[in-house]
Formats: sequence, C-alpha cells, structure tokens
Amino acid sequence: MIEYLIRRLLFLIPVLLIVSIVAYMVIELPPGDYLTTHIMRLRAAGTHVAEDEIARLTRMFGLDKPPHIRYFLWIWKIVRYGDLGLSFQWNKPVTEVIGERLALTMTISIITLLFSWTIGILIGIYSATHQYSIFDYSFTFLGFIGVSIPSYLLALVIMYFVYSRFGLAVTGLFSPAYADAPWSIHKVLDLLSHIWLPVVIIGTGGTAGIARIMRGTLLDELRKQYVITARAKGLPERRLIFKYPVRIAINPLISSISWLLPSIISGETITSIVLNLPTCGPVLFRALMTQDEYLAGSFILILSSLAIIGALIADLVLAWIDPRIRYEKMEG
Amino acid sequence: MKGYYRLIVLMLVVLSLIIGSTTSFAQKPGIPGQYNTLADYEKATGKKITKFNEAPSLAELVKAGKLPPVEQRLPKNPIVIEPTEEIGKYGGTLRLLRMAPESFVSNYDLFVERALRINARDRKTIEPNVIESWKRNTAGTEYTLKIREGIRWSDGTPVTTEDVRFWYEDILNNKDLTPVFPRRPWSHGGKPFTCEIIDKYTFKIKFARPFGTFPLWLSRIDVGNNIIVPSHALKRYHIKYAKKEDLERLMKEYKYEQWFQLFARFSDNAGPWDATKEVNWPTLQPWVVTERPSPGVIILERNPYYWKIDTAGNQLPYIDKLRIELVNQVETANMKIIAGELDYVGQHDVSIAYYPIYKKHEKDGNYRVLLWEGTMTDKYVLEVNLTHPDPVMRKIIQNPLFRRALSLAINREEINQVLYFGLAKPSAATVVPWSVYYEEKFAKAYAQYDPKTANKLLDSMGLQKRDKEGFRLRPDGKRLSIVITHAGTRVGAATAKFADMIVDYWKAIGIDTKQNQVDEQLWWAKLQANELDCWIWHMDRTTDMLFPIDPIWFVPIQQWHGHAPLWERWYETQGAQGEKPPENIMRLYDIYHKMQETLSEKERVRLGKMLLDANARDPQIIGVATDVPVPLIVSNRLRNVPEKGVIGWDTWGISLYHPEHFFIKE
Repeated sequence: MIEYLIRRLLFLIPVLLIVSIVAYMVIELPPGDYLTTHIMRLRAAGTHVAEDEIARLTRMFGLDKPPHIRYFLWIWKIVRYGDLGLSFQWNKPVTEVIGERLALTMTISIITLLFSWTIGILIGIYSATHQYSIFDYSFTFLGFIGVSIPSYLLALVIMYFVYSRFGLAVTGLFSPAYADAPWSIHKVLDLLSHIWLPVVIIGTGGTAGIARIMRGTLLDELRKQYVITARAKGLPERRLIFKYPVRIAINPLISSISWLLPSIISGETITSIVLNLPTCGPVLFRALMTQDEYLAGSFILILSSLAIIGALIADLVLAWIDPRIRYEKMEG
Repeated sequence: MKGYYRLIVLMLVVLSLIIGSTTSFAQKPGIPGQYNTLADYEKATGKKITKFNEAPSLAELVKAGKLPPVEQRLPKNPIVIEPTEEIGKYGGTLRLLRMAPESFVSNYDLFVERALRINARDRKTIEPNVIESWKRNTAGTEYTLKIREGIRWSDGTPVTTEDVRFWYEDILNNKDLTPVFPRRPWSHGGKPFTCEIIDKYTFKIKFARPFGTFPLWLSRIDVGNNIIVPSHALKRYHIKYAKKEDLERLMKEYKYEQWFQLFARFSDNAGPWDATKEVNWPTLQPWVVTERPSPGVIILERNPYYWKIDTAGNQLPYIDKLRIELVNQVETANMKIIAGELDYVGQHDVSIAYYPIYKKHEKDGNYRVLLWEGTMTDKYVLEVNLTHPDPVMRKIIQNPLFRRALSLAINREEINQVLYFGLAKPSAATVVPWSVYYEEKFAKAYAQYDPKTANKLLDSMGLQKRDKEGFRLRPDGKRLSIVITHAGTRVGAATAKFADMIVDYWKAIGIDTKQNQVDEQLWWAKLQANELDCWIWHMDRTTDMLFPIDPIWFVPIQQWHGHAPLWERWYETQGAQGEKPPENIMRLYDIYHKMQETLSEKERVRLGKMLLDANARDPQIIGVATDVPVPLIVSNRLRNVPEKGVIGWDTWGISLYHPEHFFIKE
C-alpha cells in the first residue's frame, strides 16, 4: 500500500513538469505578451507609450529575455525556493494574489459541494426508489433544467429578478458595512446571509447532475439479484438500500473527486465574474486574458497538481468504500 | 437596412424628447475656479481669509499631538478654490469602481495633481499648481520654475528642489532606470534637457531650442511621478543611496531580481494610474492610499498636508475617504449603477450606448446623469492605413480623392441619431468648435452626405470598373476591399454598431467593406506588423489643452496611434526604422516643430490652422461627430460637480474641475 502511494506520488513529478511546459507554451502562443496588454490599456485611457518607455517597461517586467529562458528561471525558482514568481498585473508575488482569495474561494466551493452532494444524492435515491412516481417525474424535469441551464445565466436571471423586485444589486459576498471590516462574528453571519445565492447558483447544475447519476446507477443496482435476495430474506427496506446498493451506486461519484479538487479553486469562473465574487476564478481568467504568465502558469500548475492528487484520493477512497476494488488490488 | 435605421431613428428621437424634457430644469451651470495665493484672492474679491479650518478627524489628531496644527501643515500660499455651488461639509466615503486590478484608469482623474493646470472656465489658460510660478528667458530656451513654498508630502516631509534633482540626476540620467532618454517633451530640440538647481524652491530647465509650449506640457505632467518625486522615500530603494545589504533584503522580500525592478515598483512613472503603489506612499494628491482591506478593494483617505483651501479657509478635500472596488465587467458595473451603489462613475466606464438604461433608473438609483461634452469616449474616428503594405492599395489610399470619397459616403446625421440619440454634432475630424484653432470650414470639409460625388471621385481615380456583384475593381483587376479591424468594446461600447453602419455606407459606393472584431492583443500585434487596412479609435486631443502639443491625428508623430504606422515609426525612431514620409508629410512635421518652438501665441494658432487646413483638404483621418455627449453618473448626495462640462483625455478626466472640493451632502 505504501509502495503504491509512493509510486503514485513520484509519478506526479514528470506529469507536472510536462503540464507546466504545455501550459507555458499555451500562454506564450497568442501574439504579444503582458506588456502588450499594459500598453493597450494605457492607450485606451488616452496616454501614449513611446518607444523609450517601452524599452524601459520591457526591462522592468523582465520580458527582454526569450520565453524559454523565462520558463527555466520560473521553474528553477519554484523548485529551489518554492517561489511562484511575480504577477505583472498585481505587482505582487503570485502566492499573495492567490493566497488572499483562497479562503473565501474554498469556503464557497466546499459549501457548494456539500450542498450539491447532499441534495443530489438524496434526490437520486428518492427518485430511484420511487421510480415513475409524481415526485420522480418532477425531480427529473427539474434535473434536466438544472443540467441544461448554464449557471452564469441563472446568475443573471436571479440578479435581474432580485433587482426588479427589491432594487438590490446582488454582487459580492458582504453588505457594505462589513465588506472592509476585520473578521468578526458579525462579519461571518453577514457572509452566511449572502453566501446562499452563489452556492445555489453554482450548485444547481452539479446537484442536478449528481441526482441523475445517482438515480441511474442505483436503478441498475436495485434490479440485481442480491437486492431481491436480501429483500426476500426480510431485511428492513431502509437498511437494505443504504447498506448495499447505495454504496455501490456512489462509486462513479467518488471517481469524480479527481476533477472536483481543481474546481474547488477555480470552479464556476464565469459565474464569479458575473456575481463579482472576490474569488480565484476571475483572477485566473484575467491572468490568461492578459498573459500574466507567471500567475496563469502557477494557477494551471496548482490546478493540475490538485487534479492528480484528487485522482489518487479517489482511488484510495474507492478502495476503502468498495471491498471488491480493495481485493482486486491486493490480489493484483 | 435603411428602413430599419429610420425606424430606430424615429424611436430614438421620441425617446430623447421625453428624456430631454425631464432634464431641462437643471440649474445654471457653475464652474469652479482658483486663486493662486491668498493675496490674489483678497485682491480679486476684497474678502480676507483669516482663519484656517480642518476636518474634525484631523482636529482630533492635532489635539492628541499627533499632527501639527493646520496653519503649519499648509504652504505659505495655499491655493484658494472657489466652489461650483457652495462651501462643502467635511466627511463621507465616496463609493467608486475600477475595472482593472493594477490600474486607476477609472479613478486617477479624481486625484491626479499636475505641475501646472488649466483653468476650468476658459479651458485654455495655464494656471499655477504645485509649480507656483514660472518664467522663461527671452530666447525661450530656459524656464525658471518655483515650487510652491512650504508645500509638504502627505507624510509631512517638505517638498524641495532636492526632489527635482533626484528625479533628474538619479532617475532620468540613470541608465538602469531610464535606458532611453524620453523624447517628447524632454528631448525638445533634439537633445536631452538639462536641469539646474538654484535654491531650495527654484530650479531651471534648459532646452537646446526655444520651447514655447513647455508650460502646456507641464500641465500634463503629474507630480509625484515626474519632475517632483518623493526623494526621501525613494532613496531607500536606489542603489546609489541604499546600503547594499538593505537593498538585497528588500529585493528578496519583494521578489525582484534587479534593484531597478524594485525601484520601479515604488517610482513607476508610467502615469498616475498605478494602483499597485505602497500603502501610505508619500504623495501631493488630495487622498492617499491607506488600506487594502480585502482582495480588489482599495481605500484612500484624506491627505492631512493637502495644500488647497476653499474660500472660507477650510482645508480641502472635503470627502474623508474613497473606496474603490474592483468590478470585473461592464454589466456588473451597470447593475451597481442602477442599484445606486456608486457615487461617481467617470468617463471610462460609461457610454452613451447605455444612456437609456441609466436614465430609466435615475430615480430608483438616486443618482443624476450629467450629459457632458466628451472629447474621447464614444467619439469615433476612422483611420485608413496611409502606409498600406500592399503597393496597389497604398497608391489608392494615398490619393486624396479616395479619402474624400470615403468621407462623403458617410451619413453623419444618421450616425448622430442612431449612436448619439441626436445629441452630438456631425463634423469632419478637426478640433472642437470652441478651440481657438477652429474654423467652420475644417468641420465642414467633406462632411456632407453625398454618395453621388463620392462615386464620381472614385470613377475619376480609375476605379470605375466593377465586378458582377457591383464592387469596384482595382487597377490590377482585384476587387477593391477594405476590412475595418477593431477591438470592440475596448474602444467604446458602440464600436461594432458604428462599424456596421460604415460598412453599409462604403458598400454603397462600391467598396467591398467588412468589419472584423478581434481581441485587443491581436489587433495591437497586427497594427505593429502593419497588416491592417482600416481601424477605429476614439478621437481625443482636439482642444486647446492638447492639440497644440500633441496633434497626432493631423501629423503622424506618434507610433501606433495614428493612421500611418510606418511614417510614425520613422518619426519616433528618428529615421532608424519605418519609412520616410513623402514631402507633404515632412512639411507637416516642420509645422509641428515650429508650433512647439514659437513663443508667439498668434503664430502658434496660425501654424496650427495650417495643419488643420491641410487635413481639411486632404483628410488623413475620417471623423464623424463632435460635442459627443458623455453621460456621467453622479449620486444625488455628491455635490459641487458642475452640471455641464467637458471631459476626456484632454481635460485629464474630471481633474479639470477640482474634485478635491466635491462633497457629500446627506
């Protein structure tokens, strides 16, 4: 088991290296560099950046070195000092830019996850055990709507609705009174009173998806012989369902942990932009748009590591939850 | 398409009539003014300012002994501001937005301080600001400038000529910090200027040639980043003054590899919009960045050493705090506007395209929409590439008849109705009507809608042959086509709509026209590579504040800003790159240089009119309108903002109107 873990963790290194090279190349691909964005922004404001000023800025940003040298310097610093470099746009270390948004981002994502998993799984189980009932039909109907409406559109609709009914702009996560205040119990309460909206908006699609998957796999399981046997032997219905078929039906959801982890950091970027949430998603988006190369590169590096770690966790949890997989592994 | 436009026009006319009738009760426009010294104020009004007052929050600090009394904080001669409406009240927080994390582009105009400034009432007289007085020698090559005596940085350190010397010797003449000496205006006459310190407050700037427009240039230079810099704070990061081990520690702390990168973090002189500055960094502005409480939010608080007062002797600014929140996109910004969550939204984040939305929610949002005259936002101009890469196209475009035809084919009144709700004035590309350089014939040149003559002009150029679809053929037999490439909303909210209309007008005279909206970076790369036929920008620099020093639309002097990339490149690299322009353009350069040199205002106006006249005869660029309205959003509690005014790059946004004396009236 430990050997397996070490092997998987070692495997991380070459994968991350390849990911970082590909990510860096993709960031470098579009015409221009960060300076281009910078100059364009100044130009749109009216000012002119003359040749002399461009020469100065190129040096200041360190863009006078060719891309492959910049890449090696960046990687070297990460390996040697754990330093992810400097964000051009924010003029701050990348770790600081991401760090100050991390707590809020993770709070939203984790609450959303809990929300969508709890509701999704419960609905899935209900729908499967009460197939073709009136509630199953309505959940199915709602589920399809939930899956098919992009969350940013839902955000816009809700924003419009709230504005036209109450005259409020639902943006951000705090009331003006608490937005700049230091953390206190009141600020947490204020956050909780605002957080439900993004959670519901971001979580709707996921909830619907989870409910559909749960319903499908559970229906498959319910028809299997061991369920019929158990039922024939007089096992109480609730215990029967939760102890056996549900545990198996949950497997595909567990495998999805590998892509759930990255989405904790950058999930629902567009929704966050629409709702003006101070989370990591919009920062990543802007970094890619402006070719803020170290920020964008670091983001992609972090997201890929999370994806790989997520896959590992998924495998471990599956083995723990599903004895069949555990035995296979031990034998193999 | 035409019928469709007519319907829109009709609807918009009705709409604008309804809107117009509700705003006609606006009060008489007042415009703020200033007196350079207390004595000037007394002489002009007969009134005396005997006592200075300060904000309650500062008075408390004085009482606690944490701050010297207001008399000691003000300079010997504070500037006296005559308010727009009334003497204001201290206090309150101004709620603002910004659209880019690193930049105050949305807000800098609320607090930028220039070396000299422009009178807000006549929009052309140069007035003292941080520089209290200036004198030039008879040859016009030397300027003796005097810093306002006793003025202090926001941390209380006195401003002296040491701050000028440091800028000149240790920034401009340091090869690491300034690899190439800045050209305009600092290398006027072909050589870098020299600076001589005379005493604690006086210094002299010398040029190789006479420089009549230098004071006007000074009105465009922001102090704190240029000319006068906080040397006491900057020396900590300069290799010449800082201890090596301190510098190395700081470089490690801020994660820079070179000392000049570290230095630039604190000194960046790219402009007043740098929003990444340190908290409490010394400045001469009315508000100082004091806090970044959460990601994206920046708080500025009053500068206790600000050096302007109102006519009642109250130290400005009135408003305690500015709170600037990062907003990711225009729709969210509009949402915040109509919900009344912002106190002021300036020129960069509003558009006449959203005017109906603003107007509809004016009451619920508790704000007012002020229609100001814009010299930038939404004022579209078409640039056809005079140095086109294809020799056949270049020959066609360089023919004045072609550009005259393009101009005549445009129905400017229709554009005015569709894009500007009929609130602008159709005009060719020239200076604004209230400029001393203006003549009616410049605005009327080829600005009438006359597709018939346009067709005739094109026929007479040898473009009379047409293909099966009715499009004209070039002399080499290929179809005559133009692609208008633009960066969409980066230029203005209605850019695509504007381009759409131009496509129709030019197609109607047999030119196969298309529009291509691309990402700004691609657009920029294509412009630099000289691969574009035609593009769109907004036409600033058309007033007496900027046209005399920066007439980029009429002379190709600024690379990647005008209509002839290769010529502009040639000019800016002093002949090293690009292509040498033909004689008629060289003549324009000559006129431009003379305009900069001459000491006679009359002569400058004569020369400027020559530039405009040349453009009227042979339009280098194609403009559509002037007096384009800009709908500024001002909350009802924010007072002393003039009802009417001019805003744009020329005015440096609202800074012309003394934002330090705006106040919140609850």
